[in-house]
Amino acid sequence: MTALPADPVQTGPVLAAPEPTGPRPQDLTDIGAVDDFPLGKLVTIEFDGRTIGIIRTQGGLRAIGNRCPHQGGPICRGLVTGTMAPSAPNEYVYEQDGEVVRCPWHGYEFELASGRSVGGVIRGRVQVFTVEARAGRVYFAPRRPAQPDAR
Amino acid sequence: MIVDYDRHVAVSDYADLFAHMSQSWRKHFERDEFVGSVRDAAAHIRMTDRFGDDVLEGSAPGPGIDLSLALPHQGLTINGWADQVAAKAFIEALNSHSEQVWADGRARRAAILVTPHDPAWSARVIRERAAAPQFAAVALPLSATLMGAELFDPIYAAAVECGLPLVVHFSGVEGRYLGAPPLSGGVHRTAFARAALMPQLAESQIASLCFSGALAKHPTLRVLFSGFGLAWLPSLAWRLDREWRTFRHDVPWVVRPPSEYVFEQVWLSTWPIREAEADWETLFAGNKAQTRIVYGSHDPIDGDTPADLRAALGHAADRVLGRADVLPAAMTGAGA
Repeated sequence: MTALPADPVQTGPVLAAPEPTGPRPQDLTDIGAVDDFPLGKLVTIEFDGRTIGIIRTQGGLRAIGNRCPHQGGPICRGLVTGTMAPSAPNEYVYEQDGEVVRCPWHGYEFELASGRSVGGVIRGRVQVFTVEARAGRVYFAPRRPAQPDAR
Repeated sequence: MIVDYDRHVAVSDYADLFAHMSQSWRKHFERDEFVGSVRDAAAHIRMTDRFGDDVLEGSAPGPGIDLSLALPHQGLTINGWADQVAAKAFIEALNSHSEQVWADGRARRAAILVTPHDPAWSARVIRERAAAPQFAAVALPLSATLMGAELFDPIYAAAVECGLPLVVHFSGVEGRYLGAPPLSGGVHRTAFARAALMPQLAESQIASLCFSGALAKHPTLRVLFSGFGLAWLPSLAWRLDREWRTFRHDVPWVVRPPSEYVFEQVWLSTWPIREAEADWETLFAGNKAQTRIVYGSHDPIDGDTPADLRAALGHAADRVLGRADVLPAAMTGAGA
C-alpha cells in the first residue's frame, strides 16, 4: 500500500457530498460495508501500519489520523461531540453536533471534516484523509480529501 | 513623562471630611468610633508604625515625577464596612476632598472612589464627577463577588463612557472582613501574612475578567491592578491560555487566547519592584507582559522611587517609567 503522507495540509472541512458515481479511483481501498460504520461512532482501522479513525456523520464520511497535533494524543479514542460557537457572554450556542472530536488527553477539539482546531486554539491540525461510500461499501485512500473548503 | 500611578493619600483626621457631608450625615458620623478610628482602622491593616504614622495629607508628586494619581486608600476599606449606606456617604466625602484638596487637575489627579456593593450608584458618581479635571481614574474596591460578574457592568460602562481607567488596589481588610474578598486557604492571623498574599486577589480578578467575557464585552475598558506586585503576570497569562485551549467550549465568548485581552486591557503597577529585581530579564524580556507594567510608587507607604526602579530593572526601567497609556491621552500628552 502507499505510505501515508507526512502531514497533509487542509484548508477546511469536506462538504457533505452525495455518494460519488462513476469509476472508482484506483487508489481507493475497500475497508468494509457502510453498515460496519454506525452513524456517529468512530471506528478505527489499521492501514499501512497506522491507526485511522473512520466515522459516518450526518454530513458524510470522515477519516482522521490518530495523532493529536498538540502532544500526540490518541485522538481516535476521543469523544465525538459538537461544540459551542463564539457567542455573547453567558450564552451558549451548540453547533456542529457529531462533527467534532475532543482529544482524550487535553480536551482540544478538532473538526472531523477538516482536522482544524476548533476556535483556533492551536495551529496544528489532525490529519484527514479521503473516504467515501459507493454502492454500500466504504473506500479509503491515504490522501487528503478532494473537496477542502476555501476557508 | 513619568506618571506615578500609585500615590496614596489619606486624611489624618476624619473630622476633615465633615465639610463635605450634609449636616445629617455629619451628625451621624460625629462619634468616637468613627472620628477616632483613623488610627484604629489603620491598625487592622498596618504592619509597622510607619503605616499608621505616615497618614499623609499631601499628594504632591515626588521628585522627577510629572503626574501622580492619588488613591485615597481609606475609602477602599469600605469593602469591609457593615454599613454600606454610610460607606457611600464616606467615600463621596473623600471624593469631594480629592477634588478640593488632593488634586489640582494638572500634575495631581485622583481616582474617583466607588463601591462594588452598589454599581448603579457608582455609575452615577462616575458620570457626575468624571468631567472634573481633578479626576483621572475610578477606584473600585474589591468585594467578594469577582470582577467578571455582570453585576459590575454599569461601573464598567460608565468608566468606558467617561474614558477613565479602573484602578484596583487592595484595602488591607481582604481576607479578614465579610464583604471583602477572602484569601485562599483561610483566614491568616496577621496583617503581614495577608499582605504577602494579596497578589492572589489580582490573579483571581484577572482570571474572572477574562473568562467571564467582561474584557471582551467592554473592549475599551482599561484596568490597572496596583500594589499587587508583578512577577506573577507572565505565568498567569500562560496558565490562562493553557486552560482556555482545553476548555474554550465552556467560555465560547472568549474568542482569543485570554492573554491577548490581558495584554491589551490590563496593567500592573510596579510596587514592590524588588520582587521582580532578580527575575525581570528572565520573566519579562521578550514577553508581552512587560508592556503591561507601569510605575507606581506606593508613596508614602514604603514606596519605590524612579531611582529604585532603575536600580532594580536597569535599562528596562525607562520604558516602564515612560509608559503613560493607562490614563486618558489628554492628561498625559500621549499621541500629541
